[in-house]
Amino acid sequence: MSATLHLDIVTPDGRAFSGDVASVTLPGAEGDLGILPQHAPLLAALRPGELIYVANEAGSGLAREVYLAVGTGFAEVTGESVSVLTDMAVGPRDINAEAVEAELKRAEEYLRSHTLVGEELEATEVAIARSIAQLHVLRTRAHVA
Amino acid sequence: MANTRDIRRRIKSVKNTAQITKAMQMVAATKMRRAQARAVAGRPYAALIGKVASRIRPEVVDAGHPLLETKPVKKRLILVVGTDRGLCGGLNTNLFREIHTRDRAENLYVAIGRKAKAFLPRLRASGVPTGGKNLIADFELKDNFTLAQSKVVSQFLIDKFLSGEVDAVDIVYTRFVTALTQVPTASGLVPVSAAEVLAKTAPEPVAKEEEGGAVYLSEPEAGELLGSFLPAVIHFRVYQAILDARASEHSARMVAMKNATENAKEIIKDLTLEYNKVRQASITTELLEITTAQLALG
Repeated sequence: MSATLHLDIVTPDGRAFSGDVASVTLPGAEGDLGILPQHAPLLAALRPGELIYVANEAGSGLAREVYLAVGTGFAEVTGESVSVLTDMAVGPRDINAEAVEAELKRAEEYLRSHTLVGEELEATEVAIARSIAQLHVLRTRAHVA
Repeated sequence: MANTRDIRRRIKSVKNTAQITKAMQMVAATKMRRAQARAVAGRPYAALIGKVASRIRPEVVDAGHPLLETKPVKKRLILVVGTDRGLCGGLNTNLFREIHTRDRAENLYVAIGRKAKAFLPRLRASGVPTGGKNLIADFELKDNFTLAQSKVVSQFLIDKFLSGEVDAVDIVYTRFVTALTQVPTASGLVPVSAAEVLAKTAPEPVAKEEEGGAVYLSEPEAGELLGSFLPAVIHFRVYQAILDARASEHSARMVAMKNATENAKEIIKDLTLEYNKVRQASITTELLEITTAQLALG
């Protein structure tokens, strides 16, 4: 029985991460999910938020936590692997605070000034949630990057 | 023998053509690089979402969903991803040949691209050209289309399936392999369980849940989750197929234009040779005439 999980994180723009990890914490739509090896098969929807995985440093036995801001998506968990499909996956180093804040302001302003319905409303809310997720990762985890 | 002025004129016109095809080749090359980067970037996502989707069967998720239901197929809806413009070699011809082999009288079609729209009414599975009755919608997308724009198309397909108007939806597009190879490809889209993995990956080791008959846990509750996951699979597969088709289009056009430019250069070479021959022949005749005249006088 393997003691590691194979984690794949992909976005439509490419593969964000692929490798073996000791554990993963996913921002599930209904609450955070901590996944360890041998987890029961699971299919989960993800909300924009923070994904944490503990990377195995080969040989050294050191565990290193890595934080990523992810967008909405899905995760499939089997005993040995976790596949994360999301529309965004960025680490604290790749987040541009000003751009994200500007985006957040714009979306909030848009939400206030327009009466949005249906898809447009959803899209704006998702944009806001994504921005907040990125800012959260940036502010709380910048020191680890 | 043709006269020199005619040949000069022809050389000039071929040169102009070569210039145009050369320019088109450059444009296609730039567009190809961009389209190719997008198509290739989406591949891992497509492979993974396809892999996950192929594992989801009603037995393992403990909840059914209309998009998973396999029905006996009477009416099939086919999404054809063609190009808007021609001059791209055999790309559309090959694609349409693929469609010919799958055409049935009951089939319905949705077209992307003007060439596909023009082609579909000519299908004649029922003996006579359908004249467009089989084409229920057509869409045009720009090269820099977004997922939100292709969603309009895929949502239309999903709606047709859910309303029961069709029993299955397939997609036919040109898969981008390399700049020189593009393969017309047909794959199932809806129901999702019938769809094979978009980009063929290595055969999966038999997953545990299949042996033990274990069921996926799901969060939120299975029905709700499938309700958002399955459309996402379809949206993305359509998006990726169009990206592939675009990358193929630009590569095919680049190659076609490169060949055209080379052919034009070849013709210019031949014509120049011909021109020189004619010119020299006329000089020789003139010289002969002068010498004969001088001899006659002397």
